[in-house]
Amino acid sequence: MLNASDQHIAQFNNASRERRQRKHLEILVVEDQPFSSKLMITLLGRISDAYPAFDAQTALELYLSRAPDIVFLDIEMPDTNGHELASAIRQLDSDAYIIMVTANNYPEDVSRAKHNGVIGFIAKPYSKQKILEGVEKYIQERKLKS
Amino acid sequence: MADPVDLTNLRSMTDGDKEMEKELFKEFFSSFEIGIASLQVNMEEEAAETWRNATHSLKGIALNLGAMELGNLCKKGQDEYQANKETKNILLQAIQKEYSQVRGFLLNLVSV
Repeated sequence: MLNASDQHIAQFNNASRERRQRKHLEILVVEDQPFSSKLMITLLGRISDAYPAFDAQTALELYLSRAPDIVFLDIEMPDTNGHELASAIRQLDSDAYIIMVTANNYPEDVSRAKHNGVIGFIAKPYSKQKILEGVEKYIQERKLKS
Repeated sequence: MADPVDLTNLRSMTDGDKEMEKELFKEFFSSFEIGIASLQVNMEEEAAETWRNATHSLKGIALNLGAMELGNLCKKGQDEYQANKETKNILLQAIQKEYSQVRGFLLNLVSV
Protein backbone atom coordinates (compact mmCIF):
# COMPACT_ATOMS: atom_id res chain seq x y z
CA MET A 1 0.00 0.00 0.00
CA LEU A 2 1.37 3.42 -0.95
CA ASN A 3 2.02 5.88 1.87
CA ALA A 4 2.24 9.66 1.81
CA SER A 5 3.36 11.16 5.11
CA ASP A 6 2.27 14.58 6.34
CA GLN A 7 5.81 15.77 5.71
CA HIS A 8 5.60 14.62 2.10
CA ILE A 9 2.29 16.35 1.61
CA ALA A 10 3.72 19.58 3.06
CA GLN A 11 6.68 19.26 0.66
CA PHE A 12 4.24 18.83 -2.19
CA ASN A 13 2.40 22.06 -1.33
CA ASN A 14 5.70 23.94 -1.67
CA ALA A 15 6.76 22.05 -4.78
CA SER A 16 3.48 22.62 -6.58
CA ARG A 17 3.76 26.38 -5.92
CA GLU A 18 7.24 26.28 -7.46
CA ARG A 19 5.93 24.26 -10.41
CA ARG A 20 3.68 27.15 -11.41
CA GLN A 21 6.69 29.46 -11.67
CA ARG A 22 9.24 27.04 -13.10
CA LYS A 23 10.72 27.90 -16.48
CA HIS A 24 12.06 24.42 -17.22
CA LEU A 25 10.21 21.12 -17.44
CA GLU A 26 10.60 18.39 -14.84
CA ILE A 27 9.66 14.88 -15.89
CA LEU A 28 9.45 11.80 -13.69
CA VAL A 29 9.99 8.43 -15.41
CA VAL A 30 8.54 5.53 -13.43
CA GLU A 31 9.89 2.29 -14.87
CA ASP A 32 11.31 -0.66 -12.95
CA GLN A 33 13.56 -1.89 -15.75
CA PRO A 34 16.90 0.00 -15.76
CA PHE A 35 17.41 -0.40 -19.53
CA SER A 36 14.01 1.04 -20.48
CA SER A 37 14.32 3.74 -17.84
CA LYS A 38 17.74 4.82 -19.10
CA LEU A 39 16.44 4.97 -22.68
CA MET A 40 13.59 7.30 -21.69
CA ILE A 41 15.82 9.48 -19.52
CA THR A 42 18.32 9.75 -22.40
CA LEU A 43 15.65 11.18 -24.71
CA LEU A 44 13.81 13.31 -22.17
CA GLY A 45 17.02 14.56 -20.55
CA ARG A 46 17.72 16.59 -23.69
CA ILE A 47 14.57 18.69 -23.24
CA SER A 48 13.92 18.58 -19.50
CA ASP A 49 15.20 17.73 -16.06
CA ALA A 50 14.21 14.05 -16.23
CA TYR A 51 14.68 11.67 -13.33
CA PRO A 52 13.86 8.03 -12.68
CA ALA A 53 11.96 6.05 -10.08
CA PHE A 54 12.20 2.25 -10.14
CA ASP A 55 9.33 1.47 -7.78
CA ALA A 56 5.97 2.98 -6.87
CA GLN A 57 6.76 4.18 -3.34
CA THR A 58 9.90 6.02 -4.49
CA ALA A 59 7.88 7.46 -7.38
CA LEU A 60 5.22 8.78 -5.04
CA GLU A 61 7.79 10.35 -2.71
CA LEU A 62 9.63 11.96 -5.64
CA TYR A 63 6.34 13.23 -7.03
CA LEU A 64 5.47 14.86 -3.74
CA SER A 65 8.90 16.40 -3.19
CA ARG A 66 9.39 17.72 -6.73
CA ALA A 67 5.92 18.07 -8.31
CA PRO A 68 7.09 17.14 -11.81
CA ASP A 69 5.23 18.56 -14.79
CA ILE A 70 4.77 15.17 -16.44
CA VAL A 71 4.94 11.57 -15.28
CA PHE A 72 5.66 8.72 -17.68
CA LEU A 73 4.42 5.68 -15.79
CA ASP A 74 4.87 2.00 -16.60
CA ILE A 75 1.75 -0.02 -15.83
CA GLU A 76 3.42 -3.23 -14.68
CA MET A 77 5.86 -2.95 -11.80
CA PRO A 78 6.81 -5.55 -9.21
CA ASP A 79 5.55 -3.89 -6.01
CA THR A 80 2.47 -1.86 -6.97
CA ASN A 81 0.90 -1.63 -10.38
CA GLY A 82 0.90 1.65 -12.27
CA HIS A 83 -2.87 2.10 -11.96
CA GLU A 84 -2.67 2.25 -8.18
CA LEU A 85 0.16 4.75 -8.34
CA ALA A 86 -1.70 6.88 -10.89
CA SER A 87 -4.77 6.87 -8.65
CA ALA A 88 -2.71 7.84 -5.58
CA ILE A 89 -1.02 10.70 -7.43
CA ARG A 90 -4.29 12.02 -8.86
CA GLN A 91 -5.93 11.94 -5.41
CA LEU A 92 -3.12 14.11 -4.07
CA ASP A 93 -2.80 16.32 -7.16
CA SER A 94 -5.77 16.91 -9.43
CA ASP A 95 -3.42 18.69 -11.89
CA ALA A 96 -1.18 15.64 -12.29
CA TYR A 97 -0.26 15.01 -15.94
CA ILE A 98 0.29 11.27 -16.29
CA ILE A 99 1.09 9.36 -19.45
CA MET A 100 1.00 5.58 -19.02
CA VAL A 101 3.35 3.24 -20.82
CA THR A 102 2.80 -0.44 -21.44
CA ALA A 103 4.15 -3.40 -23.38
CA ASN A 104 0.69 -5.00 -23.32
CA ASN A 105 -2.38 -3.98 -25.28
CA TYR A 106 -5.29 -4.63 -22.93
CA PRO A 107 -8.49 -2.55 -23.34
CA GLU A 108 -9.12 -2.85 -19.60
CA ASP A 109 -5.81 -1.05 -18.96
CA VAL A 110 -6.94 1.85 -21.15
CA SER A 111 -10.32 2.14 -19.47
CA ARG A 112 -8.85 1.86 -15.98
CA ALA A 113 -6.24 4.50 -16.86
CA LYS A 114 -8.94 6.88 -18.11
CA HIS A 115 -10.92 6.30 -14.93
CA ASN A 116 -7.80 7.36 -12.98
CA GLY A 117 -7.55 10.59 -14.95
CA VAL A 118 -4.53 9.51 -16.95
CA ILE A 119 -3.97 11.87 -19.89
CA GLY A 120 -2.34 9.58 -22.42
CA PHE A 121 -1.15 6.11 -23.28
CA ILE A 122 2.01 4.96 -25.06
CA ALA A 123 2.73 1.39 -26.15
CA LYS A 124 6.19 -0.12 -26.06
CA PRO A 125 8.48 -0.11 -27.95
CA TYR A 126 9.07 3.53 -27.09
CA SER A 127 8.72 5.88 -29.98
CA LYS A 128 10.60 9.17 -29.90
CA GLN A 129 7.76 10.77 -31.84
CA LYS A 130 5.01 9.61 -29.46
CA ILE A 131 6.98 10.56 -26.36
CA LEU A 132 7.78 14.05 -27.66
CA GLU A 133 4.17 14.50 -28.83
CA GLY A 134 3.09 13.79 -25.25
CA VAL A 135 5.45 16.45 -23.92
CA GLU A 136 4.43 18.95 -26.60
CA LYS A 137 0.77 18.42 -25.79
CA TYR A 138 1.49 19.24 -22.14
CA ILE A 139 3.35 22.41 -23.12
CA GLN A 140 0.48 23.56 -25.34
CA GLU A 141 -2.11 22.85 -22.67
CA ARG A 142 -0.09 24.73 -20.08
CA LYS A 143 0.20 27.73 -22.40
CA LEU A 144 -3.57 27.77 -22.83
CA LYS A 145 -4.12 27.72 -19.06
CA SER A 146 -1.69 30.56 -18.28
CA MET B 1 19.05 -13.24 -43.11
CA ALA B 2 17.81 -10.15 -41.26
CA ASP B 3 19.83 -8.73 -38.36
CA PRO B 4 18.45 -9.79 -34.98
CA VAL B 5 18.24 -6.14 -33.89
CA ASP B 6 17.00 -3.03 -35.64
CA LEU B 7 18.59 -0.10 -33.83
CA THR B 8 16.77 2.61 -35.80
CA ASN B 9 14.37 3.43 -33.00
CA LEU B 10 16.97 3.28 -30.24
CA ARG B 11 19.31 5.52 -32.22
CA SER B 12 16.53 8.05 -32.70
CA MET B 13 16.19 8.18 -28.91
CA THR B 14 19.96 8.51 -28.31
CA ASP B 15 20.60 10.84 -31.27
CA GLY B 16 23.29 8.44 -32.45
CA ASP B 17 25.42 8.95 -29.31
CA LYS B 18 27.81 5.95 -29.52
CA GLU B 19 28.94 6.11 -25.90
CA MET B 20 25.33 6.14 -24.70
CA GLU B 21 24.62 3.22 -27.02
CA LYS B 22 27.40 1.19 -25.38
CA GLU B 23 26.04 2.01 -21.93
CA LEU B 24 22.58 0.97 -23.03
CA PHE B 25 23.84 -2.30 -24.49
CA LYS B 26 25.57 -3.08 -21.16
CA GLU B 27 22.36 -2.29 -19.34
CA PHE B 28 20.45 -4.51 -21.76
CA PHE B 29 22.79 -7.47 -21.18
CA SER B 30 22.58 -7.05 -17.42
CA SER B 31 18.78 -6.72 -17.34
CA PHE B 32 18.22 -9.59 -19.74
CA GLU B 33 20.54 -12.00 -17.96
CA ILE B 34 18.86 -11.28 -14.65
CA GLY B 35 15.53 -12.00 -16.34
CA ILE B 36 16.73 -15.28 -17.86
CA ALA B 37 18.08 -16.38 -14.47
CA SER B 38 14.63 -15.74 -13.02
CA LEU B 39 12.96 -17.83 -15.73
CA GLN B 40 15.36 -20.71 -15.08
CA VAL B 41 14.25 -21.03 -11.46
CA ASN B 42 10.57 -20.21 -11.94
CA MET B 43 9.29 -22.86 -14.32
CA GLU B 44 7.17 -24.72 -11.76
CA GLU B 45 3.38 -24.28 -11.77
CA GLU B 46 3.31 -22.40 -8.45
CA ALA B 47 5.72 -19.82 -9.89
CA ALA B 48 3.54 -19.06 -12.93
CA GLU B 49 2.97 -15.40 -11.97
CA THR B 50 6.70 -14.84 -11.44
CA TRP B 51 7.38 -16.43 -14.85
CA ARG B 52 4.71 -14.20 -16.42
CA ASN B 53 6.15 -11.03 -14.83
CA ALA B 54 9.68 -11.95 -15.91
CA THR B 55 8.71 -12.68 -19.53
CA HIS B 56 6.64 -9.50 -19.66
CA SER B 57 9.62 -7.49 -18.44
CA LEU B 58 11.97 -9.13 -20.94
CA LYS B 59 9.48 -8.49 -23.73
CA GLY B 60 9.49 -4.77 -22.97
CA ILE B 61 13.29 -4.59 -22.88
CA ALA B 62 13.68 -6.54 -26.12
CA LEU B 63 11.11 -4.42 -27.96
CA ASN B 64 12.66 -1.18 -26.73
CA LEU B 65 16.06 -2.35 -27.95
CA GLY B 66 14.63 -3.26 -31.39
CA ALA B 67 15.05 -7.03 -31.04
CA MET B 68 11.61 -7.91 -32.37
CA GLU B 69 12.03 -11.69 -32.70
CA LEU B 70 13.37 -11.84 -29.15
CA GLY B 71 10.44 -9.69 -28.01
CA ASN B 72 8.00 -12.02 -29.77
CA LEU B 73 9.52 -15.07 -28.09
CA CYS B 74 9.22 -13.38 -24.70
CA LYS B 75 5.59 -12.51 -25.51
CA LYS B 76 4.99 -16.19 -26.28
CA GLY B 77 6.56 -17.03 -22.93
CA GLN B 78 4.28 -14.50 -21.25
CA ASP B 79 1.17 -15.86 -22.99
CA GLU B 80 2.09 -19.43 -21.98
CA TYR B 81 2.75 -18.61 -18.34
CA GLN B 82 0.45 -21.42 -17.23
CA ALA B 83 2.11 -24.06 -19.41
CA ASN B 84 3.90 -27.04 -17.86
CA LYS B 85 7.58 -27.10 -17.03
CA GLU B 86 8.56 -28.97 -20.21
CA THR B 87 6.89 -26.37 -22.44
CA LYS B 88 8.48 -23.55 -20.49
CA ASN B 89 11.87 -25.20 -20.82
CA ILE B 90 11.48 -25.28 -24.60
CA LEU B 91 10.37 -21.64 -24.63
CA LEU B 92 13.30 -20.65 -22.44
CA GLN B 93 15.76 -22.41 -24.73
CA ALA B 94 14.35 -20.52 -27.71
CA ILE B 95 14.65 -17.23 -25.80
CA GLN B 96 18.24 -18.02 -24.80
CA LYS B 97 19.17 -18.95 -28.35
CA GLU B 98 17.76 -15.72 -29.77
CA TYR B 99 19.29 -13.69 -26.94
CA SER B 100 22.74 -15.06 -27.78
CA GLN B 101 22.21 -13.97 -31.42
CA VAL B 102 21.25 -10.49 -30.23
CA ARG B 103 24.16 -10.32 -27.80
CA GLY B 104 26.65 -11.42 -30.47
CA PHE B 105 25.30 -8.83 -32.90
CA LEU B 106 25.59 -5.99 -30.38
CA LEU B 107 29.07 -7.01 -29.18
CA ASN B 108 30.21 -7.09 -32.78
CA LEU B 109 28.88 -3.57 -33.30
CA VAL B 110 30.76 -2.08 -30.37
CA SER B 111 34.01 -3.79 -31.25
CA VAL B 112 34.04 -2.32 -34.77
